[in-house]
This record gives sequence, C-alpha cells and structure tokens, in this order.
Amino acid sequence: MLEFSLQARRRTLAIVVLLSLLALALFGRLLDLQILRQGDMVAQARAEIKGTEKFPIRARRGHIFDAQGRPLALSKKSYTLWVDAPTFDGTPAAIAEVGRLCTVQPRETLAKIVAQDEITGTYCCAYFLDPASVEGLQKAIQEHKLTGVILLVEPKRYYPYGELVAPVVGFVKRTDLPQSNLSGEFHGVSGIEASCDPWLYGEDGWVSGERDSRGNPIPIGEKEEQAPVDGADITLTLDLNIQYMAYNRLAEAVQQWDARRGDIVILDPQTGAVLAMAAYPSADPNHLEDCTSTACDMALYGNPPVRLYYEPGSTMKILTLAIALEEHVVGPDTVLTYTTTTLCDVPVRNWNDQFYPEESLSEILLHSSNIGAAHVGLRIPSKIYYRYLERLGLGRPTGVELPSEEERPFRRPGETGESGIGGPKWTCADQVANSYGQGIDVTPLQLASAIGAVANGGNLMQPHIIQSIGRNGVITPTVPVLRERVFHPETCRHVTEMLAAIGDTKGPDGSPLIPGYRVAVKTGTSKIAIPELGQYEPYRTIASAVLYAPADDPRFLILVRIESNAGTLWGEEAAVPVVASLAEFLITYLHIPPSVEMGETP
Amino acid sequence: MAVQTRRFRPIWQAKIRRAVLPRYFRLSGKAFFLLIVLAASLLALMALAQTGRVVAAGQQLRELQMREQELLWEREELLRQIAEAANPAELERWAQEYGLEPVKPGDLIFIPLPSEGLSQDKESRSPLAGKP
Repeated sequence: MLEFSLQARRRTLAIVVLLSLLALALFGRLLDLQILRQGDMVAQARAEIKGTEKFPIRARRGHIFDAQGRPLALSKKSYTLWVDAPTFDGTPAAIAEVGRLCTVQPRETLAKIVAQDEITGTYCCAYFLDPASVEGLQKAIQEHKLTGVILLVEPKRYYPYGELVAPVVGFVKRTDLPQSNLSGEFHGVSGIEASCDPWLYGEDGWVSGERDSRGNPIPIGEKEEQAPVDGADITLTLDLNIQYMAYNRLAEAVQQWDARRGDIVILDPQTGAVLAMAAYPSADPNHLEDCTSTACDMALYGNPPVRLYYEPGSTMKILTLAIALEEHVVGPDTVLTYTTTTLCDVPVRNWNDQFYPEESLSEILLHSSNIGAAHVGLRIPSKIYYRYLERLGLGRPTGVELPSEEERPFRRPGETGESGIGGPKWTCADQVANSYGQGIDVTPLQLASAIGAVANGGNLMQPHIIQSIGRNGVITPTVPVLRERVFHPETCRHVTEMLAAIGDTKGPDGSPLIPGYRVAVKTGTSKIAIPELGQYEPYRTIASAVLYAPADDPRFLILVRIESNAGTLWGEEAAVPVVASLAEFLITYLHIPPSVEMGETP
Repeated sequence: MAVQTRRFRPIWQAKIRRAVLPRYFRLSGKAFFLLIVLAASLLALMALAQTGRVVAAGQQLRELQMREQELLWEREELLRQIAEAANPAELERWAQEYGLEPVKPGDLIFIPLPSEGLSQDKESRSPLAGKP
C-alpha cells in the first residue's frame, strides 16, 4: 500500500513537472511574442492583414420597365477571368481551356504565364463570359485541376428589346475597369440610363475588416460595414406594344420610301406622358462593337425625337392659326382674300403652286396654304406671335427626363439668332416663313407637346417618360406637370374642328381617315436648311404628319417625321399612312369607342 | 447521576467551526496547481466554444449572403425570361401561326352602359380636373 502510494506520488509528480514545463514553455513563448517582440509582431501582422482599408461593395444597378412592367434593361450574370501568374498551374486540358477563353491578353503574355517565365502579377484574360462557358473552368478549380485562376462575377447590362427602345433606354459603359476582386463601375451614357444614372446606380457600400494574407475576412477580427444601396427600379410611361408598332410602321415607311431616317413620338396629350418614342434606323446596345456608322451613333447617343431639330413645315400652321384665333386677329369664320403673294418682299408659294385667292381658316389648313398661313401670321403682332411660340416651348428643352435636349432659340424681332435663312437679323420675312413652319427649328417632342396643348384644350403639359421610381418597395409616381395654360378651350375647339375636317377627308377617295372616329390630322412637308450656306437643300424634304384622336377628347397624339434620302418626300404620301395605321392600332389597343355611329356621316 | 462536566462555551465553539470550514478548501501546492490548470482549461474551452460559434455564425452569414446573391441573379434570369416571353415580335409571330389577325377599329363592339356610377369621364381622367 505504501509502495503504491509512493509510485502514485512519483507519477503525479512527473505529470506535474511535465505540465509545469509545458506551461513554462508556453508562458515563455507568450512573453516573447506578446511583450519582448510585440513591436515586430504587430508590424508583421499589420503587413499581412489586408483589412483596415475600405473595400468597396458594388451596388446592383436598378431595372428599367415599361408601363406594363416588362423589363427594358436588366443585368445578366457574367464572369471576368483573371489569371494570377505566379500561382497559375493545372492540367494541360484546363490550361488549354483558359487559353481558349483568354481574349484580352496577347498570346505572348499567356505563354509566359503558362511557362511561369519571369512574369508576376494578376492579368485579366476575358470580360463578360457567359456562365455556361466557364462551367468547365469552375469544375477544374473545384477538382483542384487548376490553380491561380479567378472567376469574378460581373454584371452585364442587357437590353432584351435591343434596337426597339435603344434611343429611349440608352446604354451603359464601364467607367472604371474591374480589379481581380472587384467588378468594374458602369454608368449610363445615353437615354434613361444616363439621365437617371444616380437613381439606377444606387450607392456603393464598403466593408472595412481584418483580412488574412489571402484576403479572406477574419471572422473574429474587427469589422465595419456599410451595406450598398441598390439602384432604384424605374418604370416608364412608354408602352412596349405601342413602341413595337410605332417602330415597325416607321421602319416599313423608311424602307418603302428609301428615306434616310425617321422618328415617331406618341404622347398622351392630357398628361404629357410619352407612350412611344421610336427612331429608325436604330442600333442594338447589346452589340456596341457593331456600331460603326454615323447613323448608328446618332441612334445610340442622340435620341433624334428629343435632340434633332428640324423645320416643321405645315404642321406649324396649327399653332399659327391657334395664336391668331386666341388673339382675335381672325375669327373661326374669317375668310381671307389675298391680293398679293409677296409678303415682306418675299414671294410665297404654295406646295402645289396653286393660288387660292379666297380662303377660310379651315381651307388654309385643308389646302395647307402657305400664302394663307403667312397672311394670318402677319396679322399677329410680331412680339406677341413670338411670345406665344416661346410659351409653347419651341426651341427650348421640354424638361422630359431624357438627356441630349438642347436649346435653340429662334430669331425674334430685334434679335439675331442661329435659326432662319436669309440673313443674320430678324426681319418681317422671318415671321412670314415661320407662320408656315420654315425658318424656325423645333424638335418633334417640342412640336408634339405644343400641338398637344391645342389638343387638350389649351394646357401645355410637360412631357414626361418616367411613370414611377421604386426603391425598397416604396414607389414614387410622377405627377403630370402643367407648364402653362396657353389657349382658351374655345380656341382649341375651333382649331380641332378644322383639323378634324381634314381627318374626315384623308381616307381613300376623300373618305374619313378612320371610319367611325373623328381624328384631327395635319401633314407637313418642309425643306431642309443648310445653315452654313444660308440656303435650303434643293430637293430633299422632311415629310411629317401629326394626328390626335379622338378629336374631341384626345387619348393620344402621334407625330411622324421622315427625312428623305435624295428626292422630295411629301407628308401626305409618306407620313399619313403611318399615322393612320398607328391610330387604328391605338384605337383598338386603348379600347376607344367610336366618335360617331358607324354609317353616320361624321 | 450523570453530570455534564463539559463547559458550555458557545463563542469558542463557533470560532472552531469557522476555523474548520476553510480547511476543506485548503489545498496543497500540487492540488492548487492542478486546479489552476483545470480552471484555465475550462476557460480556454469556453473561449474556444465561443470563438467556434462566432466562426460558424460568420460562415453561415457568408453562405446566406452568397445564397442571396444567387437568388438575385436568379431573379435577373427570370426577368430575362419574362422579357423574352413578352416580346411583341414573338407574340405577333405566335399569333400569326395560330391564324389570328389584328383587330380593326370597325371590329370593336361597344355596348353603352348607363353613365350613373361610372366615374371614368373626361373630367375625372384629366390631371387638371378641378383646376381653374
């Protein structure tokens, strides 16, 4: 018993000594690391830990939807392929796969990376790789058949309807190249993508935390994080079905007449909401690399319906007559008798060279009489006439939520300006030409908005294309904005009656353009100015037409502009079929009941 | 007759009790050392368990974040599929395949309803309704 007790004591003593030695060793090591070599250790740790600097976290870009909730712009998952030269290694098949995908680096660099030949650093090999195309690489990495390869997820903006909505939606471009651990930064260049970039982009977040030498976060280390605020979703007033019909009809017309280009604006005149805005030719923003022509650049970078100024021609007569009626310089029943076709020392001709010595206001519009419009225009005092044009928003940005709107002030009494043909200073001849839509520059959207004021009873509504902005479930709708009340409803009613009378005869053989419906319509054919030469192109024209329906309570307003390629193109022949076809579609699409009983003469 | 000869000294007895009680906790050097080691081990285990839980929670958080990212990408893919399915060009082609034709304005039949109770008139639709 005593012997056992002694043995047990010795063993216990041995364990105690052993543990004491271990504890002593541990204590000594801790003393060495934490106190004696504290400075060196801290410095070494700081060098290895990649954590105290802020590491950005990209926000997700918001979506763009049409009025029915169909996505017009979204982000697709893609990969950026990086190769870390010093650690790059793998099976021959896996290395060959990397070589196949690598399109950014020259072959020499790739060969050096493979041979690990005097090359260091991390190299970007390919952008925007489809998830399906990197499946092989991902498998090889998982199976440890490939090392030194980084597959970084990077969003690729995708436009499902391509060229159909390109001028409106626009596109994004990378403004900051990606790094091996951070995707690039994308910002809008044109269209809604550019004008709403701050909303769509959101706010990048950041994380500041201790990371180990491999860059992985240390879970128990200090960490501070600011979560990114994802971009807002933007819903447009644009309806894809209407846009599709507008684009197709326009494309058909441009091709049929071998025209240079064309565009269409469709508005809700009651609210100023843009229902469609199409331009042809257009380009697919999903394939920017294919965009090499000027026309393509114009389609992608400059939305023609809001940017491209033109002389509107006879569609301007609507405004001239409305101003004259509003100012009571003529009445709805006034009949003008002309004794001369030379006004302000300028000979005025009608489009068909016919002369009507006596015309009512209705006939001026029906004949599209330049002489009549000029006589009416000259009855309005100059300052008042131009004041109205200014109030109608011509020559200045409409305020629509699209970029590229430019100001182009028209020439007014006592002023000089860029617009107009025939000299640097305003003369009475300017007012003559402006009355029938020459010598004054407008954009289709400006003109549509101004004629919309006539259509809706005198209210100039600010055109808008954003229906709502949604973020984190909170949806902020856009409220229609009344810019100015320009005309009295009575004035508008008279003008609409005159335009509806045209609509009643523009169909085949003088029949109504759309049987059963009263539509207000006016055509326009204008010359194309060469401002540098101070003259007009001899043959080329811009054919246009404007239509709103139902005339008494319009639900939509269509403005079509088609620019001829070489010869003369008339609004009547080229633009009217387009507006008529679109009006037919919109009447059925918007379920608009007939204005008159079928079979009844409107 | 038995006589209690022991002196009754309650204060002294209490003093003894107080002196004996800590004696149970009085340890030899080796026992004390073992106790310290045990206590330190227990503390280390507790710290390790806490750290383990933090690491596990961190890992779970990372997994959830990755899952969230995957779901967001899945949402994008679903949106793309919606866009494809709602493509007017595809719908038109599909309609033509089935022999459908666009409706003309004359094909529409409108049945007049009594206006009482219907608020969708011109005044209420106008954004300027009620303004001077």
